[in-house]
Amino acid sequence: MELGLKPIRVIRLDLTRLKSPSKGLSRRGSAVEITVTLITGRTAEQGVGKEIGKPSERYQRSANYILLNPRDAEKIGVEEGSAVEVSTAYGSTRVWCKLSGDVEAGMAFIPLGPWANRLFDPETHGTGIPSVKGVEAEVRRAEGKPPTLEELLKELKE
Amino acid sequence: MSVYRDVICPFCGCLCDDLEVTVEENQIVKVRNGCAISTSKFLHHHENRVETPLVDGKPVDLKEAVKEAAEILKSARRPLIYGLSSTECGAIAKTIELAELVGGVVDNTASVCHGPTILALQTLGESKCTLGTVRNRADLIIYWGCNPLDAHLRHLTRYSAMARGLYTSGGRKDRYIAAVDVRETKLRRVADLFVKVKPGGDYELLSALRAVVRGYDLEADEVSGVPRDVILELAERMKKARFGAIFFGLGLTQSEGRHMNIEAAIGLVADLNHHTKFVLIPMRGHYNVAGANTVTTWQTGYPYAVDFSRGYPRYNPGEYTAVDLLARGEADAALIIASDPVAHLPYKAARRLAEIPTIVLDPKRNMTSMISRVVIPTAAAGIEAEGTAYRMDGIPIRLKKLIEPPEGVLPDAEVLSLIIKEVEG
Repeated sequence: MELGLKPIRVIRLDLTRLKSPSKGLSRRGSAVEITVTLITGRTAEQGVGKEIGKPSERYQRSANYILLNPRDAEKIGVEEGSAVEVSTAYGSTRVWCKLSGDVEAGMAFIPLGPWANRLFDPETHGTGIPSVKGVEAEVRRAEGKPPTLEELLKELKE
Repeated sequence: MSVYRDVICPFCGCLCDDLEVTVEENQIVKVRNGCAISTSKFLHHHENRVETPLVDGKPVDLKEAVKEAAEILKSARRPLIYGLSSTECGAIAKTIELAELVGGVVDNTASVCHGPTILALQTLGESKCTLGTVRNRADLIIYWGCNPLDAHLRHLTRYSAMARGLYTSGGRKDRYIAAVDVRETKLRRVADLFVKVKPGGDYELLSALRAVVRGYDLEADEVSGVPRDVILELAERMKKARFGAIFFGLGLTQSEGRHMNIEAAIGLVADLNHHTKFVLIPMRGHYNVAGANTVTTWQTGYPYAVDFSRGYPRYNPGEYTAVDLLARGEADAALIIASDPVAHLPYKAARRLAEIPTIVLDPKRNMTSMISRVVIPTAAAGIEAEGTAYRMDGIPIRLKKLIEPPEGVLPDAEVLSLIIKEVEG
C-alpha cells in the first residue's frame, strides 16, 4: 500500500574518509579539494561578539571562518586569511580560513552561525534537532571574498 | 553612582550570582567577577539596539506595531511562536497564553540544543543534583561533548573542576577530571585524562563503559577510537569515586544518535549508582532555556514543541518543532521572542522566516529582526527588567533590574500582554 511517506534517510559517516583524500590536483600540485568531517560549536569570542550585537564587526569576525589543520590547508594551497568554499550535500558557504593544530587533519571546526547554517540539512529525523556535528564536507580555495552579514541577509530576502 | 552586589548574569545556564555592577547616570560603567562574555553583555547592552518599533522597516509607535502583530497572528492558520531561552519566566508564561489564544505552535530553543536530552529523560528519568552539591562533594568530574571554557566560562571555577567546597577544600587537587570529545578542546589543558572519541562514536563508547561497569570483559582492542586500557581505567575510576558527575553538552545531542546518546549516558549513570553516587547534568546554554522548558511544562504539560491548533496542547518533537515546521513550509507566520533563528537554524528553515510575516521581540538588532515585518524593542531582562530564570540544574534565581530601559521600551511580558489584549479585541 502506498502511504506517500518519504523513506527515512540514514546518514552514516564513512570514517575511512577521515584521512582527507585529495580529489585531483591543481596546477601547483596541491589537491583541489579535501574532504573533512565538520564539527560545529560556539566559542567564547562568538559570545562576546554576539553581546555587542550581531551587526558588529567583532561578531562577524567570530563566526565567519573555518578552522583547518595546517596540513590540510597546505594540501589545498590555502593559508591563514585565505577565502575557502565549504560544501556539503546540502549546501555551500564561503568563509575565511584559520589554521590551528587543535583540529586534527581530516576534521574542521566551524562556529555555528549564519555562515555555517547553509551547510546543514534541516531533516531532524523526528527529533526536532538537525545534524550539525560530524557532517562530511569538502573544502577548496574560493575565488571571491566570503559574503558579509548584510550580503547574507540580502540573499535571504531574494 | 550605585554599586549593585550579587547581580545575576543573564547570559549562560550557569546564572553566576556574584557579579558586582557599577551604574552611573543609568549607564553600566563597570562589571566585577563577570567572565568575558558577561562583561561584554553588561557593558555593550545599549549597542545595536532596536531603537523604535518597526513595521515593514518603517518606524511606528508601539500601539501600531502591537496592532499589526495581533493582526498577523489572528489571520495566520499555522503561527509559530519560538525562542524564549533569553527572557524571563513571566514572559514565557505570557507567550504560552498567547499561543493558546491564537491556536499556534509554541516551541523554544531547547528543540535545537538539549531537546534530545529531554526526550531521553522522559524515557528513563534522571539522577541529578544541584551545582552546589557538585562543588561540595564531587571528586570525579567528566565533561562529555561540552566545552565550558568556551561556552560556560566560569563553570569550572564556580561549580566544578576548580571549585573549593565543603568536602573538596583542596579544589582542583581534590578531584580527578576527565574530558571526552571528538577534538582537543581547551579542556585538554585542565583534564587529567582527555579521551578523543571518533565523531558519531559516543553511543558505542558509553555502551562499552556500561559493559565494563557491569563487570563484563571488553574483548575489543578499541571502541570508537578509544583504546581498551583507557576505557577500563575510566570505568574503574568511575566506580571508585566517592561522588561522580558527568556534565554533557551538544557534542552528544547534536551528533549522530541524538537522544539515544543521552539514553546511553543515563544508563551508565544508573549502573554507576550501584557502586557509588553519580549524577548527570546537561550544560544548558542560554541563561533561561531551562526556564523555558519548566514554564512550558507547568502550563501545557510538555517542555517544548507544543501545538494548540486543536484548542488543547499536543506534543510532538519532529512535527511541532521550529526547524521542522519552517523547513516544511508549514508555518505561515512567526513570532520570535529573544532569539535569532535566522542566524542559527539550517538555511532552509531560516529562509522560511523571510518568506512569511515574522514578528520579533528583542532588545537588539539581529538577523531575524532585520528580515521581519514587525519589530518591537523590549527591555533586557536581568539588566533593565527583573524576572526569574532557571539555572542549568533547575534552580530558580531572581534576576535584578539595574537600570531603566530606553524611554517607551517595555519588558517582553508587558508587550506580550498588549498583543494578547489586542488579539482578544
